[in-house]
Amino acid sequence: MSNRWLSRILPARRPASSDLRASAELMRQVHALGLDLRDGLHGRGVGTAAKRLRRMLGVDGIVLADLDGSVSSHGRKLSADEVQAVLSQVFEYGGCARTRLSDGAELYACPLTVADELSGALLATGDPAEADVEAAASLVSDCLDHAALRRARARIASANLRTLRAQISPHFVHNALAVISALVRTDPDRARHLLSDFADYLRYGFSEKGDYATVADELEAVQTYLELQRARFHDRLDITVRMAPEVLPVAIPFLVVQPIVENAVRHGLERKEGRGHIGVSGFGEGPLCVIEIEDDGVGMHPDLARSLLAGTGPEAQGVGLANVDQRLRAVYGPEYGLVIETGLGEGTKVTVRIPRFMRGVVAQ
Amino acid sequence: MSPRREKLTSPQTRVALARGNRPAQHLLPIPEPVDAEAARRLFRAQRRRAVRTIVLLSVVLFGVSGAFAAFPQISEVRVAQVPLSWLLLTAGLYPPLFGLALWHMRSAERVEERAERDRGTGVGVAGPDRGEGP
Amino acid sequence: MTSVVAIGLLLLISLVIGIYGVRAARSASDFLVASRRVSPNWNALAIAGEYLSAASVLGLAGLLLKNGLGTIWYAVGFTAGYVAVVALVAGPMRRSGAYTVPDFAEYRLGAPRLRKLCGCVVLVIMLLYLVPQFKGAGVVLSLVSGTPYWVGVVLAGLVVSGSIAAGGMRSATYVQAFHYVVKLLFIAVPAVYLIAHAGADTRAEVLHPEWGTHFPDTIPVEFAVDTRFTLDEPVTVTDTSGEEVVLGEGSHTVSEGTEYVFPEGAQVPRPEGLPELGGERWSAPLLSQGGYPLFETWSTLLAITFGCMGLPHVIMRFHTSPTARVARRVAVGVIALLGLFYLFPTVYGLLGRVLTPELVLLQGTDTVAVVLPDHTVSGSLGTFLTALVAAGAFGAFLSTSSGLLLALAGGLSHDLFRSSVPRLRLGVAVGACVAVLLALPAQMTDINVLVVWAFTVAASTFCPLLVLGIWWRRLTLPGAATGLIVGAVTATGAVGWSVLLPTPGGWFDVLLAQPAAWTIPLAFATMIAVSRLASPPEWAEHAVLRLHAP
Repeated sequence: MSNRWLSRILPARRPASSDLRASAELMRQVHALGLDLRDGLHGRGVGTAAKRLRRMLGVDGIVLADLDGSVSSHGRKLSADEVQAVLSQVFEYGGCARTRLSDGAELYACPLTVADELSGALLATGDPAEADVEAAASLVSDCLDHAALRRARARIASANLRTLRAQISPHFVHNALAVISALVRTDPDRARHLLSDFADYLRYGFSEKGDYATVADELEAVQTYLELQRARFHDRLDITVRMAPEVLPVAIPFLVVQPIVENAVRHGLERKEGRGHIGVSGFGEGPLCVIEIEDDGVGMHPDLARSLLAGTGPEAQGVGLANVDQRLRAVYGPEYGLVIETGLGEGTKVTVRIPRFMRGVVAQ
Repeated sequence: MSPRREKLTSPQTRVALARGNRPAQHLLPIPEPVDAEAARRLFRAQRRRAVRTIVLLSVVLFGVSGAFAAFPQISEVRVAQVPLSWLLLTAGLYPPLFGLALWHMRSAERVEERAERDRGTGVGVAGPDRGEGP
Repeated sequence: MTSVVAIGLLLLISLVIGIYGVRAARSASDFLVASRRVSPNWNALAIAGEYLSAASVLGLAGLLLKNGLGTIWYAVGFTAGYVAVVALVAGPMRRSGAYTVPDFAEYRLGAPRLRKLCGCVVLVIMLLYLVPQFKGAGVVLSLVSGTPYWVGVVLAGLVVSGSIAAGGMRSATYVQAFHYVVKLLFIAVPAVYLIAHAGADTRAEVLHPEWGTHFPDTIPVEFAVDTRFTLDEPVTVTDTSGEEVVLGEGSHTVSEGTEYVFPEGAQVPRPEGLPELGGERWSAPLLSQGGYPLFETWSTLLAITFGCMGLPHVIMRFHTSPTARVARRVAVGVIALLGLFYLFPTVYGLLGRVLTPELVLLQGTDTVAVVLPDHTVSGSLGTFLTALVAAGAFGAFLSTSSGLLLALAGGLSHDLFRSSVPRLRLGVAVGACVAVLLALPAQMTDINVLVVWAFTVAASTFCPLLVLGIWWRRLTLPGAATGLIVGAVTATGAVGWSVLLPTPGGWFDVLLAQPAAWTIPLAFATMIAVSRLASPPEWAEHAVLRLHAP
């Protein structure tokens, strides 16, 4: 529909320069209308949109209505009953309708269709040319369609964030239960202890409370995880934690530290002979909070790490890291992605550097 | 950093860091309160208390200094040789200030506790098994 | 020399606490200890430690000696500020999750663009606050080491930026808490000793300013700048060549570099523009430089009480509390700690009038707390007490200015220039350089004048932003921005005019020197009026209600 309308105002022959200026102006107006309606019929710019439409069509009055009645008008005022009467006519037949008001003025109304659904109407009073109003109504419909798509995109982004939320790895669940069952006979006390740790860990991991937790909560999850891993490693795993107390209440996305630690254990230390060491440290750096996870394991080839972060790495390795990196960027912006320092046989250090405050990031 | 380690980031992060400055960012939405009406009631209750405390604070500060201006003879009254106005000024005002703050804190916490209790017993909102466990 | 050692020792201990204060957990059971949050008591100590600046440790006693008893209202205001913090901002600010005021603006108004404006205001407040700190440190260092003032200031700049670079950036809480204890002990112990040591006669003289102020000893006075002073009775002084000069009743002008030796018991001359030491204006319990005591006192109280909540480095500290409730409790604890501390600086000012009145002629009253112990207690004990006070004063400088410099650097890199990698070290270095350069010509400016200036700007900008942001649902972005600009320009301009330019005199002078009484209401009114022109976005109410939800 809008193509038909555009072809009418942009003739195929090469136009004169004044025509060109007029059409450039018209494009500007159409673009501005799109901006007015960027939040939809109930957004902030709808009043300006009504005013702009009235000027573009050269009519006495414009009313923009949703399914329940008028949401904004400019110029000649109509009573609620008058609007209702013409709306019911429009909505009943799903097409444009012309009526005459009590004082003899002409009123022409066209439906607004968004994604093939009736969602409102455009009413023009005065002496409107029917084709013009129809064209304007399809333009407004397109704008509203855009607005709906924009909202959907934001929803998808946040839903995406939620699906990205780290999952507890089945691998780890299996290992943990195997370790505990092996200890049940030899060291029942420790087995009981580990089981209750595991329960805590699962509760944290399956928590539905929100998308964010505090650094302190994350640390607790890391602790339970490492406790279970130590049992598996027969205590040949050394742990050092240094946390500046200032950063403990900082809110961070759920399960950010734990997958990094898990990656360090699985891909750095499991394959290493002898004792392994893993260090977690956190401190404030002005408005930023920095968390570093360092291991002295087998390290990674830099190309492998690069491809992992670019999202093109092998499935089996470092999925956790790529996921954390992606989530950090989605929440805080691209400059706050993970920084990995590694080399073959050199161990790995992963740095999370995020703002202490980010609007909307609230620990539950 | 060990010399043979390489520092790596995702391509997006590399580009963003090289750019030097952060562009204005998308805003994450602020979660809505579960029960807006209860939240409004709580807000108003807290605001009443805040206003009350600020009024009392003004009474203490402006009242005492006003009294010094209105009754200069306060300085002539002496307690154990020390002029009363000196005593008030150097030491006497801190206990009331502390008391006022303490009182405000208690009363604000009481309001919060009541709100939490009300939410806990809220009808229909939460099932019985919503709890955190024992 | 003892003082230099004491200051060195303080620095060393602070560094050690800064670096090793964060406990490293090695076994999993230590893990819980390491991840435990800072206890509210430590946090309150740290906040008080960071807050008590050179203005409290040195400036208060100095200004008391110079301008009179009304100065104590500053201390009351510094404490009362935290009552306002408890009542208005501590809890909600914590719930917003904001670390700085610009963060809060972004939370509440959803406009990252406001950050730059807020960043500019942070810059102004922090510099106004930093300059007097460096002045105080410079004065103390030059006094204890015998070097010129500028050496002291530059040295202070190097020390503080060095200590931040060496690890002060990582965990400040325990260092600041340690500094509170240092300040309290090092000010309180000499103060109590001095009271006991002074003897009954001196104590009675202190309590009876109406007896007049006389030189307690034969005292040489070397005038550092051209000075005009008035005498009520003739005094015979000795000049450098040993000749006796009779200074008659009335006013005198002496040029820079003149040295007179005043005899014991002579009346202390009154420098122009200052109240007579111990006179009626001096001993009135109200602030009165411009002749409108009640207005001046109220305006100053407003500035300090409401400025406190707008100080960026104060706001930041509440972020360390795990919950809003704890944040509020911490603020209440701070009031107790401040009230305890402020009992002592007064002692130096009151004793100083009787024992070291010549400081008024030397325009060096800010040094009274350091000079007094050495002056009155002879021998190594006096040196020791002076070393204590000097170390306490230096601790005040160190903790406050490193907090301020970090806030300044954060504001510069994160808000003003929006760099993607925060260049904190660069920001600290730049901030320290600028503060040192500004502090060099400020030797004769009173510490507290500059500090109250910073409080006035904070009270006229961030205070309305926070109070309206937290307690008024209809605040809008244009309203907040206009109010910030109006408040910053009027408050900075008015005091700046009165400090740097000639003023017409009378009421106008008072309104310029103590502008809080009109700039704060003006900023509030602007924010409200401009906000009413537009309606806030629909999420604005959620943003406010969240701040109060338990």
